[in-house]
This record gives sequence, structure tokens and C-alpha cells, in this order.
Amino acid sequence: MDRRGFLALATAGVAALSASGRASGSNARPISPPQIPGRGFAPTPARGPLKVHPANPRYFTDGSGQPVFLTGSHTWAGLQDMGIPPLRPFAWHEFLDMLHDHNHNCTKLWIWVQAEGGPWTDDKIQFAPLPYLRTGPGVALDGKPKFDLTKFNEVFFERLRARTLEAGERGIYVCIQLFLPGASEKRGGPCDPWPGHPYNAGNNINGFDGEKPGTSTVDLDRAEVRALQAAYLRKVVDTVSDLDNVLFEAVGEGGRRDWDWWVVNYVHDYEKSKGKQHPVGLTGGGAESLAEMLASPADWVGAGWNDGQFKTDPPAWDGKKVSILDTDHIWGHGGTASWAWKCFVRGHNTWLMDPWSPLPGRPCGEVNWLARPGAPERDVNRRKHWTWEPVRMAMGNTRAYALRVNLTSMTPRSDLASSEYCLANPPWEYLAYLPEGDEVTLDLSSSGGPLAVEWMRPIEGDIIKGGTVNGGTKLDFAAPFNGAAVLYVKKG
Amino acid sequence: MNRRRFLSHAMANGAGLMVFASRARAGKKAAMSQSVPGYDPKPAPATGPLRVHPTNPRYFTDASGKAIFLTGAHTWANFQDIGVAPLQRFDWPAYIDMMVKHNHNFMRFWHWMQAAYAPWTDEKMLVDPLPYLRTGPGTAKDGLPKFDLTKFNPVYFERMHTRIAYARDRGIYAAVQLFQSFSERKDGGPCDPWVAHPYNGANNINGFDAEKPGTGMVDMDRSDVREVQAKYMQKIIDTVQDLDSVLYEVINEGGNKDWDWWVVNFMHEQEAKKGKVHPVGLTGWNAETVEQMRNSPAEWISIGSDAGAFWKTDPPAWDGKKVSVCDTDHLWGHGGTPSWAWKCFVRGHNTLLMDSWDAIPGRPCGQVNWAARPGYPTRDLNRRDDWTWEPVRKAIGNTRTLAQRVDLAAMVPHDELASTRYCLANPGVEYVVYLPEGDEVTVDLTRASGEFSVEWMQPVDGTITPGGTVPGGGKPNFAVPFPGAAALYLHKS
Repeated sequence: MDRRGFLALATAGVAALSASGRASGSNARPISPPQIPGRGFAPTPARGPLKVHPANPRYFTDGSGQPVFLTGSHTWAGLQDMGIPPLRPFAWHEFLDMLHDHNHNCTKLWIWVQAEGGPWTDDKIQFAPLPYLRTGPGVALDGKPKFDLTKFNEVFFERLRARTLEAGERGIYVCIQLFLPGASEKRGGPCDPWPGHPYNAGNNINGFDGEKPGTSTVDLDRAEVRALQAAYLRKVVDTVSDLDNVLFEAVGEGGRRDWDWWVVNYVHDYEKSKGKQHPVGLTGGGAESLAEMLASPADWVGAGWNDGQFKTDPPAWDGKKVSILDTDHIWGHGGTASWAWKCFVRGHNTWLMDPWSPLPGRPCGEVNWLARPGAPERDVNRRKHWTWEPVRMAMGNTRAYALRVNLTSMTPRSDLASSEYCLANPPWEYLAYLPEGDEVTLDLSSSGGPLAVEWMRPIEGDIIKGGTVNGGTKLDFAAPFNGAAVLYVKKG
Repeated sequence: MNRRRFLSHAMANGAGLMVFASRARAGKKAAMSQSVPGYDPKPAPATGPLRVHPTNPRYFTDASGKAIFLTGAHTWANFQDIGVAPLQRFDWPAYIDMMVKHNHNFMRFWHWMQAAYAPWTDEKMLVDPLPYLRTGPGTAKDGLPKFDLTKFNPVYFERMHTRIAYARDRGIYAAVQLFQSFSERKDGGPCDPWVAHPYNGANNINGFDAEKPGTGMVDMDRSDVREVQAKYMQKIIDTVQDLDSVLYEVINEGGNKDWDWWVVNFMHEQEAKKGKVHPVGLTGWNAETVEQMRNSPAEWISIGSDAGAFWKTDPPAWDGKKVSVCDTDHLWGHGGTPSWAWKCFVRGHNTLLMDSWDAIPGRPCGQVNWAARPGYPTRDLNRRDDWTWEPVRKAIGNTRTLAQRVDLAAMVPHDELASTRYCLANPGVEYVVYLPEGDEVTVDLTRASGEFSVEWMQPVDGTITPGGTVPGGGKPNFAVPFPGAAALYLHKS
């Protein structure tokens, strides 16, 4: 794939990095989503590691036995500070506040293994802290001490643990992204992070060259590479394995099937020696198709942009694996409030790839956050762009309902609503989404007796009572406001 | 069909009813309408009666030869004053001002035959003026002099001509409604306008009783009935035949195939004798099937929700077998959305909004579709300033803004060219694409060469945002530069 092709595809879904300076405060603004049912609760820390819910495998459950719907923003600098030097620390607590204020309960912590560079930029962006210690002797290609691949950087792992703990105290699950082959290696692009990679032979004191010859990428087939990666995986697991609010993402947008599955199996197997087992997931948009991911040993999957109509019409999910759809793998930079609602009522969990801290560096080619046909001035790589806040709010509103309904029994029932977006547990409760508002016919044939009706504005989250109706038939509901709407009908 | 079933069926499902004007409100609210960007404050009058465009039969054309997209708001009192006593005069100039400001160019011109009452209300709704003179001798059932069916009321016909000419001078076409099914009893309903219908045997001095026995409805099969109706139609032709801005509508949501077609043919034949032939249309909600209307001698048709609820949410691409005028009246009754207006436009339809500009009068005598609905117990769409209306008024005006900019004669629905499947295009030259949920759209420009200018329009506000240029020859994925639904216009630079 040539540079342009790579950037259009890879960066389309990949990574980003934050201009840490901006992240640290200058873009900050108070956000006050409305207080609605299901929001504003005191956060409840996880009560046991997540496992697939036995009765409704579209969702995880914790020690409580209740299904847990996962949704939230994540941003590239959530764990490591990144940007053009001098690096400024990411405002982690402000980010946690934002997640809490938006009723989010899940984020991702991105792990960058390279010391500098990214495939989307020709700026020498840097990352800190890094997983390996830079002890020297000798100078790496970036002019700093070489890495010792036998020594982990405790600053990195302490931060990993501390942030995971702090998130957990706020009721937020953390998905730790274990590898990032698409963003830490070259893939043929001219803006090459390989010179900053610790597995580059010029960068470590161990004489270790992890490169697949001539590719500037890690050779995932070599046993010694996997041995090194296994040590890293053990260290990550050792760092957080006692925490309940952890998930793992094997690899951001895929290495390839054999290696991906090895990572999943390795973490599973290693965690068996530990007290707690955490879900491990695979995400699309890269090397594996959805069908392959569904056949994998992973506990959850995230379909990608190349897996079908996941942007505009996410299919009703059967729960073969837990599905966590991530705008990162579908748009790259992008997402809509409608998408968040459609995903929810079709049985998916959701993540927003949020430029809360923008992806740093001057692009070295076409990137998907800047000019597009019809939008030459486009720049969505900033926290305040109009794209983001509606999605953040909509996701929090979906969670508000996830907390109110009996999610254990709710399944996608496109057949029950004329809009074809409906999560329901007949005859007890129905949650329909109307992408264009106006009206919806809901099949309440199996629900005799009175049912309470309420509407929610999908973004603002305000609720409008809709009186009661008598079920036992199909009813044609009229939305009491303009635009998209959420309809909740509950027995009793 | 019993009364309740009739009312919930006919009114809830699109029944085209009528409405009435709360005149006091009408005057006060006239100022609320806003201008659509790009509207012409002094639109040119029609230049020749409409005829089906020879190369793009989805649209009409006039003497200019250009394809004409028709769209606008119509309201139940826009010709005769209707309401509970004391009747107040409909503010016609304010209504026309609203249409012009919204860039509308088309209305239905409502007709009521009954002197009083209506199928939706148990109050005594009055109608004035009426087509026939009330000369007596004798008193009709409403206590006023009986009608003489041989004498037309000049006030009625003068108003018809005056108002249509006034609208014409502001660039607005009017479809004269020849007959009205809601002037008759509806399936046994107790709120019965037949009591005050001039063809009721008790209400005229001519000994003429047109009732199909026991129905409260005109017997359309009788030759003597058609004879009376023919004279009435002839009078209308004589009245407005000189006006280029006229269309005809056979009957609002009524009739039957044989009678409907007789009316269409009568109008055609009689107008041909006069030298100008105006288009005649069918709006046969639940009276004629789509295929019957498409195979009829009419020039234009309005398809209703009886043909499928998808006409509200996903109107199919139109082939132009007749000119299609999608009318919210036959789809919602009271209702409509801006998205519907745009979808219809890019799928090759013309549009009409049944507008509660003047509310439908009278206390409902059963379930009506403008009041409470499941999930919305306080619903009341039967008023000009309900939040439903202004966005649709503006959206239909905005569709016309684009219709006037493109070479409409060459524009055809091309669902396959846009990932949203809403695209009106003259491939290689220009494209109008609608994005119901905004965000982005892929447009197939593989068969287009050269450079295209890009414009975005906010479908309701009408704000235009330039989008630079794109080269033809590929399938660009356009990103919308604002939140929500969007219209994309691509044209050769």
C-alpha cells in the first residue's frame, strides 16, 4: 500500500495523539449535562472483573450479576503524555471529570511503545513514560540512551495502575490497549516511528532486532519477538490483574489473525495463574474481519469500517461475542449521536474516539480529520469541534436508559418498531429510537394493560412524559418535539 | 364504517381534512413567518397554463419551456371563510405574503359545498360564500333560505377569480378543488354536513335530491346528478379559464374511479373548447388506487398513506408517469417533516403542506388526528404556531430554491449515485443529494469529468455553506460542515 493509501486507511482508523499542552487545560470548559434519571448517580466501583453475562451475552456482568453496558470516550493521550516537546502532562483528572459528567463508564488507555514519531506526522512527537527503561549504555537513534528490554519502566506501570485505579473509583472501566502495530510501526509510510521503536536494533542494548527485514515493522512470527512481547504482557497483567475494572484490547486494529489470537490466548492463559480473569478483545478495521474475530478466542469484538454498515445501520447483535463498537475503527475521527443510539438499541456497547486531546503533529499526508470533499476547512481534531459534544452526551444518555431498564432481558427487536430501532423485553419494556423523529408504530400486541410512556431528546437528554397507553395492539406514537427522539414504554 | 372508526381512520391516516381558521390568531401570527433565503419578493406570474413537461414528465412546464417544481402550503379556509359563528374573514393577503416569503409557488384552493356542519365536529361550522344562491322560497334545514341550483352565487365565483389572480400575480399556482368529499356524510358519522348540503332534497327549491338513499352522500352514478355537477364545473371553467396559474383537483379524497375519470374528461373536453387546458389532478385517498390514478386521464396525482406508510418516510423515486404532488394532507392529515419535503424533492415529486395556518374549526366529535396521540396526550397540531409547521414551510421553500437553480428538465432521481440513496441528478452536470442524518455521503462521480463546485444547504434554515470544489471521476466521500441533516449541491464549476 502506498503512502496515500496507508494514510487514508490506517490513519483513518488509528490512533491519535494529543497536543498535550492543549489537553492540559486551555481547551477545558465546564460541561454540565442535564440531570436526568440514570445520570448523576454516585459512581459504583466494579464489583468483580467483567465476564460475559450468562443470560444476555451482548453485555458483560460484574460481581453483582447485573449486565453492564459499556460506553465512553477515550483519547490517545489517556495514559502517556504525547506531543511535540516540551511534553506537557495530560490532564487526566479533568478527563475523568468529563467522563463522569457525561455518564460514561468506560475508557481506553492507549499504549505507545515508540519513543517518538507517528505514522501520521513528520513532526518528532514524543511519548512518555515508556514501558522500557532507557538505561544505555549507548545512544539510540533519537539521541537518548538506549532501551534495556529486560528492564521495565516502573514509572510507566505505576501510572498505568494508578490511572486504572482512579478510573475504577469513579466507576469507570479501563480497556488497556496492549499493542498498537498500526501506530507504532511504519506500514510503509514515510513518517516512520520505527526509528523510535525500542525493538529497532539501533535502539536497545540487548542486540535485539525485532524488525521483519526491510519493513520497519515487528516480525510477529519470530519466537524471540513473541518471547519479548510475552514478558511485556505479563508485566501489564501483573500490574493490573487485581483490579476489577479492567479489560484488554489485544491490539488496536489488528496485527494478523495468528498473532492476534496468540495475544488473546496468552493473556487468558497467564491470567489463569492469577486470581482474576479479565475480558480480552479484538478490534477490526485492520487485519481481521468480523467473521474471524467472532471465531476467535476473544471475549469481545469491535467491528471496523470494513465490516459493513456499522456507521449508519449497525446490525442487531446476537451476542455471539460482546460487541463494543468504537468510532475509532469506523470513522477514525468521527461519529454521530444517532450512531450511539442505533448501536445501543441494536445491542452494542460503544466507544467514542474523542479528540479531547488532539492528535499531535503536522500531518505528513492526507488525514481523515482535516479537509474532505465538501469541507475544505474541516478540522475535527479538537475537543471543541461541534462533532464531539453531541456524541459524548448521547452516549451518556444511552447509559442512562441502560441503567434503568432490565438489561438482562432486553434484546434488539427491530421487528417491533416501524423505525426498526428497538431494544425490548416484551411485554415489559420497549426502547425505540426514531432517527428522524415524527412518529413510530410500536407493536405492543403482547403487552396488555397500561404502559407508561416517556420521550427523551437523544442529545440533550431531557425527558418528556408521554402519559399512558393501553397495549395489546400496535400503536402509532407521535413525538412531542422536533427531530430525532427516543421512546421508552414500560408496563405499569 | 362507524363514526369512531371513520374518524380515527380517515382523520388519523391522512384524511385530508380541512380546517378552520381562528381568525384572531390568523392576523396576529402573520408576522411569525420568516423568509427563506433566496426567495423572490416579486415573483413573476405564470406565463401560460401548465402542461406536463415533454422531456421530464415529473414536472409541469409553462410557456417558458422550463420545468416547474411546485410546492407550497395550503389551508382549509383559503377560499371560503369557514368557522363557528360569527364567521371571520380569512386574511388572504397575509397568507399569500407568508407563501411568498417562504418561496412557495403552489396551493390547493379549498372548496366546501355545504352551508354548515362538517364530519369532524358537532358544532355548527359555517361556510361562506357558497356556489349557489339562497333565494328561497322556503327554508333549508339550517334555517336559511333554500338554494336555487340554477343560480350561481356571483360572490363565490368573483372571489375565486380575484384570489387566484392575486396569487398568480405573486407567482403562485392554485389547484381549484372542484368537489369535496367532506361536504358529505362520512360513513355514517353523526357529525353530518349532508344536512346542509345544497343537493339535499330539503335544501333546494328545485326538487333535486342527489342523495344515494340513506347515505348522506351524493349519488355519483346518476345522470341527473352529473348534469348538475357539470353545470357547476362549467361555471368554474368560465370563471378561471383565463388564468394561467390554474390547476384543478377533482375531489378531495373521494369519488370513485368512474366518476373521477368522468370529471377529468369533462374538464379536459370543455376546456379544450375554450382554447386553454389546465391540468387536472386526482387525490383519491382510499377512493382510487395508485395504479388507477396512474392509468387515469389526469395530469397529476397525489398518493396517500393508504398506499403505504413509506410515503411518509421513504417516498419512492418517481418515474413521471403522472406528475406527482405529495401532499401531507393525504399522508399525515395534520403532520409532515422537513426531511419528508427534501426526500420527496430529490425523488422527483412536487410537494404540498396541509398547513394549520388557519386551524380547522369546531369541537371534534370523535378522535381526530391533530389532537392527542399515543405518547403525546397534550398534542394539538391544529394551530399555526405549533412547532411542527414552520420547519416544513421553510424546507419546502428551500427545495424550491434549488429547483430553480438546477436545470430541472434534466434532473432525474438517481438513488444509486448517493450512499444515502437520496439524489436528484443530471449525471455529469449537477447533483442534489439529501442526507437525512447528515455526517457524510459518498457520491458516485465516476462518470463525471471536470471540476464540480460544492455547496451545502441546511435543509430548514436554508443557510448555504460553500464546500470548495471536487474533481469528477471518482466516488468522493463528502463531509458535512455542520451538525444534522444536510443537502448537498454539486454543479459544474
